Amino acid sequence: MNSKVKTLTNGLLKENPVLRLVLGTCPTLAVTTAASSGLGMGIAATFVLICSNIVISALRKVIPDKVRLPAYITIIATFVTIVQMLVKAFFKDLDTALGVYLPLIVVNCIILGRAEMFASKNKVVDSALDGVGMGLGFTLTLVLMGSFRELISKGSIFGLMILPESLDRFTLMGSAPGGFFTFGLFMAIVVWIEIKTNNRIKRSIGCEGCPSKGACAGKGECE
Amino acid sequence: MANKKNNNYENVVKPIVVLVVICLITSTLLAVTNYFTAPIIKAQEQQAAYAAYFEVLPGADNFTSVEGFATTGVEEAVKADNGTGYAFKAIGKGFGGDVPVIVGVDMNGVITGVSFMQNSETSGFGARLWDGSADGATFAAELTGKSGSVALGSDGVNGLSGATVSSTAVVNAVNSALSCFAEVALGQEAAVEVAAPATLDEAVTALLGEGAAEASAEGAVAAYTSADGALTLVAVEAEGFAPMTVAVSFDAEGVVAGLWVDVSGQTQGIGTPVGEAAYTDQFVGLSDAAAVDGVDALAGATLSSNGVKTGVAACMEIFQTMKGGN
Repeated sequence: MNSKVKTLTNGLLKENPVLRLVLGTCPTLAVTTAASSGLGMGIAATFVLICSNIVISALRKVIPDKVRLPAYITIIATFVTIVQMLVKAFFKDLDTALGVYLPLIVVNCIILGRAEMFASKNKVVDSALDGVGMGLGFTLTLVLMGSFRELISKGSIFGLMILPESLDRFTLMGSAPGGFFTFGLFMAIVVWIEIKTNNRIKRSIGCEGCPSKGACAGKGECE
Repeated sequence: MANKKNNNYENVVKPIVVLVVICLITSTLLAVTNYFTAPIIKAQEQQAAYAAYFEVLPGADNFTSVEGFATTGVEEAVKADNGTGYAFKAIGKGFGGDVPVIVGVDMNGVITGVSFMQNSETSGFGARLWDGSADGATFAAELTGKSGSVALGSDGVNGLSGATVSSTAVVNAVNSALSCFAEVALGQEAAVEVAAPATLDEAVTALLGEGAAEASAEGAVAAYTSADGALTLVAVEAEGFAPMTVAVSFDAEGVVAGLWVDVSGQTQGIGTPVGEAAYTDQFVGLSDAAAVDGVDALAGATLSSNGVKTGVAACMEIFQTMKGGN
């Protein structure tokens, strides 16, 4: 049971997909201009991640090694397209906010990365939990980054005005450079938390320093 | 042997079979999702496309496209499903191209609302129609409540100050919409504008009829005589705001029978009206250069007007030489 909880919470901080594994950086930088679009992107990616993790884990013994990547991509693309149709049909505003980044979930490294690193080697329940954990970590990070950038560039969070009108807005945080500033700042905060809680993982180049080491089957598996 | 066969199966057949099966299943899933969401998505897109129409006809619940109307200047006509009225997307010719205007008309022919779509009019002038300036909303409010036809400077329709050409384009578009309403809702005859000839060849056919033969004339760009020989057409290049071709047809007596001006090089909305019948008809019936000189220039288009005048005078001279030579 303990390992199940660990799988679930791994994605929140220790193996946070965005800030520790540094996966899915492109959508992270692109859609975190506002908290609400970060939340939408996070939920959409989480849904795809959980579904694809479950299916790929269930099929891990059926899918031959040779065609595993085309098979994963097909499965992921199917879920992404389904999500895209549902969002287009029922959440028109979200569709406008996410734009092209919604179909681009197909090539989101987090999803393919977890399929390859975790789901293809673990049982269905563990894979589902991993999907939930990673998805939560991704969503949480996007919402926090989005809130931070929205607060500084527009003075609001989730569209609610927080800062007084008299304060000047730092609109740069809402555009691309602000995304990088926020990204670096949040990464530093996570490392700081790791040090404070004495969970600092020694990072070195190679397999030893890889944050995915825990899920990795062994040396040479990840090239 | 058995081992080799097994290897073949593992390496070649199984990957193919598995991938094909996965693709089949995923395609089915997509088809099912698409089956359920496609109608909703389509309805929403329609809603978005009709959003402009809802704005000008507030009481409408939904719209159906009206087909087969003949009124020119109207790009799209829709009818409210609950019978509130009609809405039109009409186009007026402005300073920088098309000026699209959305007009809502209730069943009594009264304008319920006007909105302006994005156009390429000059920023700060005609662009005030759609760029969020209060002037655009004021102009729209001036037009709302009118019926029959509208005209600039009457009945409280003032237009945009400083943007007469764009305002005229809007008024023309609104009138197109109103006459289209008369056609589709009241069954009146459509107001169809015959397009002016665009090329010299078309103008020759329009002025001389079919079968005109080319003639030779010194100093002219081209010269033609009609099939029955009664009419002669002379075309010259004249200097307007930009070079312009002027073609004049004369009867045997040297009286101007018809006139065509290629205005494609003139400024849209300023110089181009010199090619319209309202202006060119003034030359019909004239036979000497002095009378041509007496035709009033079009306000605001002195260069283009003078171009037409010198062109007509030059044509007369050439025609006289041709006749003298015969």
